[in-house]
Amino acid sequence: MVKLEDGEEILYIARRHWFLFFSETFFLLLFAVLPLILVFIPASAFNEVFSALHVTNYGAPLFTFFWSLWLMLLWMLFALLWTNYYLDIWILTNHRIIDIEQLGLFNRHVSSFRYNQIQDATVKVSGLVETVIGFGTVEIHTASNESFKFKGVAKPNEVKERIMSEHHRVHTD
Amino acid sequence: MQFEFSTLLSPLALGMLLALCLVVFVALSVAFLYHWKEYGMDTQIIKRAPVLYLTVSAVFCALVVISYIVLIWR
Repeated sequence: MVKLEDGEEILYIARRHWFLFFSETFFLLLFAVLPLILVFIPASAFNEVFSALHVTNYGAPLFTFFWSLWLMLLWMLFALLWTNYYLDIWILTNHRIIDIEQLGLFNRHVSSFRYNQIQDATVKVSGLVETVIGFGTVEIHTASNESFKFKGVAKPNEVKERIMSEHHRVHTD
Repeated sequence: MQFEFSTLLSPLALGMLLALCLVVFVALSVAFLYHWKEYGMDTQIIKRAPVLYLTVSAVFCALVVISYIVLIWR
């Protein structure tokens, strides 16, 4: 869990759009049902293969065994992708922006910068898919010539507006 | 050396494969649960995730173990 400073409150948590997670994991669903194609092939087609493998009459349990293992593997892959998706966030607080980049398991980058360091924020929504579904890239340039980029973030304009309004508040306080 | 498929599909070989998969599964599950507990933002989703993950995993584990038992009993 991220440690907040005294008086610091979380205002918004920005995440990648769910569509990107869905497109990453959709192939897992296809791979999960792919072995079912074998069910529609007549059993006689496997007779030679089964006799060569010395597994005649073991077709169904063997299929179930390997398919279950395959499903377990895909399920773990799904959990890994979800962990990457769910823990890869930008936390907007009333003091700063915390950029947490989750890169697989046990690889996590956390960086933060204050609103008064921000020089400019830009939103890039390119292409039909990004426009229709509503995600894009928010890039923040800081005074120290660093830039923080959040690709595929959901509601990029709202994220930018929130950042700029906090930036404005910090400057006018 | 003649290659025997039956050796690869023997109960011992399948059992070793099952054991290996279960070890990997347990190791990864511990890592997932640790990450969700340690870095999750205390939302409803992250609280329900371990229950859902473990339930579905239990179904797959049961399926694979039952099919293995059926295989060695035949």
